[in-house]
Amino acid sequence: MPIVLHTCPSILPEVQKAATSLSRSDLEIRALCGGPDSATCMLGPLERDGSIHVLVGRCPMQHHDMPAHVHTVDWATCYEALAPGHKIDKWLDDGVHLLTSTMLHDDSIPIWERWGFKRLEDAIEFVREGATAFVFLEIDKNSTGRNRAEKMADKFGLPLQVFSAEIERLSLWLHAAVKEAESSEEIRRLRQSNAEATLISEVAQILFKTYELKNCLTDVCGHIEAIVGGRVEIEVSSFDFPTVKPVAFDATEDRTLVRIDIVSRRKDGFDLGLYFEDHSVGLIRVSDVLFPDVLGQYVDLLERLAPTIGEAILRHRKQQLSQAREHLAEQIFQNAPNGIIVSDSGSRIVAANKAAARILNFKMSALIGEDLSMVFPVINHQARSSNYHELADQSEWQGQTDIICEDGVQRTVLLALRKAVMSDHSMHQTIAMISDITDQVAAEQALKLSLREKEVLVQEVHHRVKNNLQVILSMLSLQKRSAQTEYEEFALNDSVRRVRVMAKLYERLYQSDNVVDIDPQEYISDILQDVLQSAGALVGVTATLECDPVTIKIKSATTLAQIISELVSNCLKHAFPDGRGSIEVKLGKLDGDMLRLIVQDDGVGLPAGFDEKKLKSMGIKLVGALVSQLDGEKKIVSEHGTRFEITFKEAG
Amino acid sequence: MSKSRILIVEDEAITALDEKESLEEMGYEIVDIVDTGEDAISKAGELRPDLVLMDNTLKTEMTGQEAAWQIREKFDIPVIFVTAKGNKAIYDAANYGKVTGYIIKPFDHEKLKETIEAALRGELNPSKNWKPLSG
Repeated sequence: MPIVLHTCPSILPEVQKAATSLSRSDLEIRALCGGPDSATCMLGPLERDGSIHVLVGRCPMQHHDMPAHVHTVDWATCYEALAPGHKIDKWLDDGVHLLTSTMLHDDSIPIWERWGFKRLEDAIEFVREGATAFVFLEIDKNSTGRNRAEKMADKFGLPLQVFSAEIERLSLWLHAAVKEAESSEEIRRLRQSNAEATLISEVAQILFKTYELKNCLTDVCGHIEAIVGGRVEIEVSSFDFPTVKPVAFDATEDRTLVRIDIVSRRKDGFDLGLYFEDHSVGLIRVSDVLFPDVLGQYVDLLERLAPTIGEAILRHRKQQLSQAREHLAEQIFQNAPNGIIVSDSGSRIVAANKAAARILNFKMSALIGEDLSMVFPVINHQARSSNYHELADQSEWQGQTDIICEDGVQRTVLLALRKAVMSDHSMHQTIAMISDITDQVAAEQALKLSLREKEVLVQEVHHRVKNNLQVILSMLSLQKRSAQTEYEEFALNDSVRRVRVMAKLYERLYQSDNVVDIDPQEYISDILQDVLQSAGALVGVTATLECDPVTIKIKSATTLAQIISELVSNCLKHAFPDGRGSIEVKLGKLDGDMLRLIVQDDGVGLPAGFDEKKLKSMGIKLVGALVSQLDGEKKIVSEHGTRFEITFKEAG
Repeated sequence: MSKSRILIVEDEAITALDEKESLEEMGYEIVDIVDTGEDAISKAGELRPDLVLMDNTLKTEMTGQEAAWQIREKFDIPVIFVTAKGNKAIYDAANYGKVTGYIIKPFDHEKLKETIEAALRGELNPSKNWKPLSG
């Protein structure tokens, strides 16, 4: 492993000379110009280039601030090696300036310029402020260095002490220092490698469990393995600590995918929180850290891994989402109950689902690639025929049509055509959705037929009722012809009238589609005419009808009609002895569901002492019964004729 | 003036009897009462009545409409329908000349007389503008 020695320029020649005896071709010596402070500046940003860096000299940086790959050798130790038995550290603290023989050997560059001064006077002024003496390390006794040192000391007005440097001792010392650095570097790397492997493995485990990123972690593991040079085993654990607010760390320049923060430091290690897209995804516990400065390495490693991990997670998630969507879309497409056919802009079928093949009775393979007009030669929609292509040109079309399938069977389908634009806008596709409604249409027709049959049945029942009523009327008519007395004839006439009121209702129902409600206007008018006609030639009597626009239930209607028939018939019998007069029938709507029927005549009125309860008239009895059937109330007023008021509630 | 002669086609015996007595009271002569379409055609050809009073639903499958159509086609005898079915089919049949007029059951005798008289006077000659009397 190459060695780089960083040393102070003041002893650079001595170090160079001593290093030659080490006989190492991979040894490089670099001068740290500018004094000990420059070590901070120069060694700090040193890239890890695979070399062992050894700082030879006094370093103001604390050990834990020094990059882990830089090894330091104490300055004093170095001078001890050069001049055994002398306390170089003390001299330096006392402001003793060191001069080496090599330094003074070459006077092409004045020494004060090497120190950074342009003029000798400036250097003298600077040195005299704190310096007490010059110390000269004489490496080469044959050089002019000593003479020059004496002259310099004289110029600066400082005493000079001379020591002989022992290069051989320095060589031995350097040899030992390099060995020690190599050894500790090996231990450091091994330890770091193990720690990194553990750490990265934990990261991977957490990510793996949290996101089930087996596939994406192949990339990450590959990356990790390349760094640690060993196999990464995955064992999963997961944590969550929502109370921890992580320090934001931008994994990439423009976005934050993974953030890492030190959650806590422990005596023997630290916990790192790992966050993905602001969600805590795990806790990385690093224990058994012997060298505190390794922590920085872990963070550094994770920070460098963060974009890779984050991007892998993101890519995998997108891929999974995309695959899931594609899978879902395919599932929906294939398992949709409706047939779906997709055709390109040239009407060629590019996709079809199972339902389409089933409805059309085509094999899937026979459909793909065919022209759509083969499937839908003509669209028959509401007696209009259209070419499929004309319809497909519309952005949206929907209609019911009959198609002849491959097996020659006609089917009724609901066809919906939709234009679809491809995501890249390159071409249009037409999506044809087909619902087989053959069975529904058949069921609908069967239902309509059944309904029609029931309607016919109801009509037939009405027909039978009417026929039976006709038979009853015929019997009454025949009976009337055999009547012996006028009373008998009247009674039979009343019966005929009463039956006809019922018959009229059936007539209305038979002619109407509505068998629940009835418009009373026409019905009552009919009844009125019938009563007037059956009563004989009372030409002087007129009847008028006023009816509010209401509909009433059949049951109420027939009861109401019977009441009107009885009351009007009663009027005709008793109110107009002279055969002249008028009858008013009114059906009005009151508040709520209440209705009021008024039958009023301008006849002779009720006889004095009229008591309804004592009456034997069947008509009035019937009216009383019918009013109670309606849950109504009846009022009789004898004033300018007779007025019957019946108030009742029309249910529904 | 001789009595107008009427053939009654009705499968309800009581109704037929009532019609017969009523019409006789009104001064018509009832030539016969039959209860099938086939008999109606046969008797119409044989007896040549002035008018046929025809029920729609008869004993056999042949309907009154069909019998009426044939009677009109073969013998040009006016036919008045007496039916409990006041439906569109009857109305159309009357309008298109298959029957001369119609009365809806249950009828009253006055309406029956009015319609018969109108038919005998030729006022109900079938045409597309014919308006039926209400029953």
